[in-house]
Amino acid sequence: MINKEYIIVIVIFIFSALLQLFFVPMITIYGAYPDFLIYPIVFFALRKGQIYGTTLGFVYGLFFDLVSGGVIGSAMFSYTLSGFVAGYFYDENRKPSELSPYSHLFIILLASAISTFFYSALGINNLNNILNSLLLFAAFSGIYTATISIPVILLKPFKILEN
Amino acid sequence: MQRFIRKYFVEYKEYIVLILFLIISLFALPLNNSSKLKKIKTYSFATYAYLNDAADKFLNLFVNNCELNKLRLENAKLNLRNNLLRERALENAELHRLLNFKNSSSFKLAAARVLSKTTSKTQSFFVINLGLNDSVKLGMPVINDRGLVGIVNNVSNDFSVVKTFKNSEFKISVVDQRSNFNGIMSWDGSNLYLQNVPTSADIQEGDRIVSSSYGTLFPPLISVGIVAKKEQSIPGLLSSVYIYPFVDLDRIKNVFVVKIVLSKKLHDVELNFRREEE
Repeated sequence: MINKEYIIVIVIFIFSALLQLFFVPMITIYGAYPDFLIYPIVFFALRKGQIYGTTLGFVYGLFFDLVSGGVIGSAMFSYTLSGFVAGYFYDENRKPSELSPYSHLFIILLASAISTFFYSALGINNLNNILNSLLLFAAFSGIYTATISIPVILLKPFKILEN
Repeated sequence: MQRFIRKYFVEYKEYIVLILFLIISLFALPLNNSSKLKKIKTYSFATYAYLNDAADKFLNLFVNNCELNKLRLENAKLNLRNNLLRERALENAELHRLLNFKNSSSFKLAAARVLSKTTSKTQSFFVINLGLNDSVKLGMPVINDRGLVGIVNNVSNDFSVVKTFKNSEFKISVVDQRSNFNGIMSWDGSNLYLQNVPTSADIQEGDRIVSSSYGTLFPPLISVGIVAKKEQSIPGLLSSVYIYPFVDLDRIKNVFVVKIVLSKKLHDVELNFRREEE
């Protein structure tokens, strides 16, 4: 019998990946894009801890690489790091919904910027030439992801998964 | 000793897990061209593409694209024809006969919808709704009504992955249509560029860049872009030429697969396609 939580994690992945591959390309601004896979990774890292966040980032990254037709390893690497970073803010005595909106925004911005930077950087041969532009791009994408996350933070749709 | 290792593991387990996963990810990167992994990738993206296809069809219920798609196809054909005429105006008839010039306007085009896109700055891929069942093959060029989009990189029965020009592994032989200067164009993560161009080369801002007849991947005269700027990389010796593409990949929704594979063996060598398979 498959654990109910695993099914939830898989369903969330399918929905987020669909948004990321189908919807996000329509709302890119100068190439910068929001990252919808970051939200569940950050939520579960804050809810379950750093190891869970890191592992979930790795698994989500692997599946995303597979379904997107892209380079296997790049999303795995970047989401693993994001899960690890988000897990830093885990507190076993606090639920993610109890986190202040500003802290939540900051964690999403940080995790998203890290993931965007490494996802793009791993595909380039000569990083020196474009390091600055990639950092700027990652920061902009992080801000974009955090901005889009404001309704998610305020409406707390993941709250039903907290218990 | 055992207790020490256990204590060490418990204390640093988060870091151990992180390093382990990062190492696995890095090891996976060079394995992308292996045939086994390619099969898994083909199966995975094809399975998921059905979901994207369903979402796309659902959205299309509200929009009637039939007439628009017909116009786009016509536009793409006219674009190819226009480049041919432009070239003919620039070169004389004798030179044409010598070069055994190919008429690129006669290529068969298959219309496709873009079902999904990866949004990375350096690894841009599209999934389109044509596959082996539509006679799409690995290595076929993909264009739209404005010009070059990419090349078919992976094919399943009903879907294909297109490696676009905004991919650092994508390289194409191009020519300046005014001066006939040839070069290899690639993507550096921010710009399309020709690297190590002699400073004396006759390339000016605003020159039109098209695919070259020397290339084995693309037919000649597919519009690529215009020269945006020329910068000296080694003063007095070499320059980098930056190209502004005609196609805006962020907004693209419909493409055409050009149903030719010019020279499979040669393009395998040129693009290092499937280098570990063969």
